[in-house]
Amino acid sequence: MGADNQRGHDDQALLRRFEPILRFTRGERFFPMDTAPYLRESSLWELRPGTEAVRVVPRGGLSLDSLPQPRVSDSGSIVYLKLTDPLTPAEMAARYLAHVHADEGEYGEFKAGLGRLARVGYFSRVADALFSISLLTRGRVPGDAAEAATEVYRRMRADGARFRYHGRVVRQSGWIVLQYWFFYAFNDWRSRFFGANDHEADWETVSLYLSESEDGDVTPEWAAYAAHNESGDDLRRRWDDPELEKEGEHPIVYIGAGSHASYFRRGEYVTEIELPFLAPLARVADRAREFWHETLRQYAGNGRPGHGNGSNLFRIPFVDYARGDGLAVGPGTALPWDAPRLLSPPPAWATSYRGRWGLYARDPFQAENAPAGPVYNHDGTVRHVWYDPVGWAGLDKVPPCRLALPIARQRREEAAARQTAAAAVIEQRSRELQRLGVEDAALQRLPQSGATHLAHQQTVDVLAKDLAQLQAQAASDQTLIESLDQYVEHLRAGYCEPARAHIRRPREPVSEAELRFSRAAETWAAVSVGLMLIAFIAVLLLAQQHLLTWLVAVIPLLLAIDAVFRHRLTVTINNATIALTVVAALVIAYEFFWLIGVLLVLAAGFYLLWDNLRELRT
Amino acid sequence: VTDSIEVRTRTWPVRAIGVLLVVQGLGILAIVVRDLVAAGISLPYLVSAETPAPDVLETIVLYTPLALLAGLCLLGGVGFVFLLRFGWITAMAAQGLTLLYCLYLYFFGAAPGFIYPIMVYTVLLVLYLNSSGVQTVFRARHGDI
Repeated sequence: MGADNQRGHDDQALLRRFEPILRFTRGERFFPMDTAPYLRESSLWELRPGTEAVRVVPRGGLSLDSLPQPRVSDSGSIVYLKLTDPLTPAEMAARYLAHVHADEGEYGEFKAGLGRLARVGYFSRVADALFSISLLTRGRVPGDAAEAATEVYRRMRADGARFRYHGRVVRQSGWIVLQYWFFYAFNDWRSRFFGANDHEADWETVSLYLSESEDGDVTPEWAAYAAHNESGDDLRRRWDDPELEKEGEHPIVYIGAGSHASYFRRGEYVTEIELPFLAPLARVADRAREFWHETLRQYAGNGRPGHGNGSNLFRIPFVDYARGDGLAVGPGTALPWDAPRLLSPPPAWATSYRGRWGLYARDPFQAENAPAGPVYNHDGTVRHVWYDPVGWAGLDKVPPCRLALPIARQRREEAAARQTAAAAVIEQRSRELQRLGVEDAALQRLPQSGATHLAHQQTVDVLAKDLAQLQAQAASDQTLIESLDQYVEHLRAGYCEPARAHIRRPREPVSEAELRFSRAAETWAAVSVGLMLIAFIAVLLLAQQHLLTWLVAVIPLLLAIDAVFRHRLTVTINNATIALTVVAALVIAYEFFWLIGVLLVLAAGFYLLWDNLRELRT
Repeated sequence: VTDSIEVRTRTWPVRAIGVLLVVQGLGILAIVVRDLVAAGISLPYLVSAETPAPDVLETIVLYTPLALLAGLCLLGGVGFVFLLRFGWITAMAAQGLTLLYCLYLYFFGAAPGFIYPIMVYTVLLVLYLNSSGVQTVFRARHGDI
């Protein structure tokens, strides 16, 4: 017990030593908090298949101790917490009058600035319109939930809930991983910041990776920030990477407004979301683009054929505003962290409660359903970041700095030993093969030795193949030894890999140049799709006979206007022409299928004739 | 001498496109003139004050866009022959509008026979316009087009 206590103290000290500073965007209403007051304000519900949800525990009856208590649940039922109840119009109005100005004073006022729609093309805007319409039909968090949650959160803060994170320390593969779990009462990305979704409860995490020397000193080497369920190498930055801002030993995290995604740099990030029902179309577009660039060797940018940029035709853009101009929470700020609630050893409320931490909105896309806790995914499986925090950030193939040199030396010795052993075997088998070669030559001369000779030859073949493999392995080991020798020398001389060598697709904020849209372009982007639909219906009702002409004339015109606003006229004309080319090619193939076949065969015949005659002539 | 040979080698695909575009423009113009003459429509008739008959009007409406496209192709061709900056976008716009015109007639119009050779020629020209060699040469001269 004493050892556990000591470990707990050590873990807490480590967490506090490196705890991050979170910088929010103006207008953010929800901040990292303790789970205990949230549970006190929540009720527990169970939704059995084919029935209405039933309240299992009323508001005020839950605590961290009681949450994981076993309850009788049908198989397939969904258990969830519920923080808010719908507000009546009178309550909404009263809340608005009482708090709106106070909120702006406390949290700052959010201004979206340049519209996200002006940054993307027409197809994405149409997809966005479909997405907005889909919200009317699929399950979603009610429109007043964000306001109601703001009210509840205000009450919790008034009752003493402060800024708190949940800390976990994991020792894995030579790393000490500090996981900072941030729990927010509500994600209001959609309703307040024009984002993709709203949901009750939000769990986000930041991980730091420390190495420990033999005398117990710890050194931070990497930081990984979670954003929108991504994982892998791109998530992490090395401690000396200039992109990783720090104050002393405290990394700075820029938090997306409403979404609470974490970023290394302040800015506005365009996040593209693909609608599941548009995924097949996107795949077809990707394949067509690949065929165009790879097979037909058409130009793809940067002067290289086949340099495609991936299709974003059917993805909806959302902006994550991580401006860092709002409140800051953490050491050295006006809002320091309270002592963390430890998640190591994992408490029962985290591991035994597999339900949702907020309203289950019955959204088939899951975007509006509240997440499960820090341990579990939506579907009840354990989160990658929980069971393998090192692999989650792509560090499973990277040793801590202090281990790199001994590992390199050890691997060099192993390769050298393998090579020495292989050299002896190669020598012995080479001689054996030579002896067999002599025997083979002798057998070849002997009449009627067919079966014996054949068996002998098979033995020779097997041995020769075996020897070739050994020699290839020895050559490969020799290359490895030479490269390890060089690497050991580099490490001894203090050489370090480039800090950003592991990053393949870094998340970059939108650049200033990309933000340079005129007010006219923004207005056009906001109204164009709606106007087109209204005009379409008007023509359909009033001048149906001209509908096709209207479509053929107006859609290219709209695309051209849009392209002019976005300074992409050339690209748009090119893409539209290519699309028309594909259709025209299909029409020609359909109309002249047999003729084309005959011409191709004739062409092949003439080519063969020419090629064979050329051979005769030479 | 080597440099001049390299330049000639590098620019000939682009200049060839210019020639092909001019050929396309002249070809389309020839189709327009042939069909208008066959329909008994001549320049004196067009400039006369007579109200054209409905079928004549229909023919004029059908061939006017084609004549404009021929002009656009010739303009693009000149742009390519002289390696002018506007050449590429004019040429692509001409190809796009030509295909749009042909496909409109194919799907929603009378699908006259001349649209097929025009479409074949245009498809091949679009492939050539977008080929890496042509794009690289044009971008080398004009930067991002």
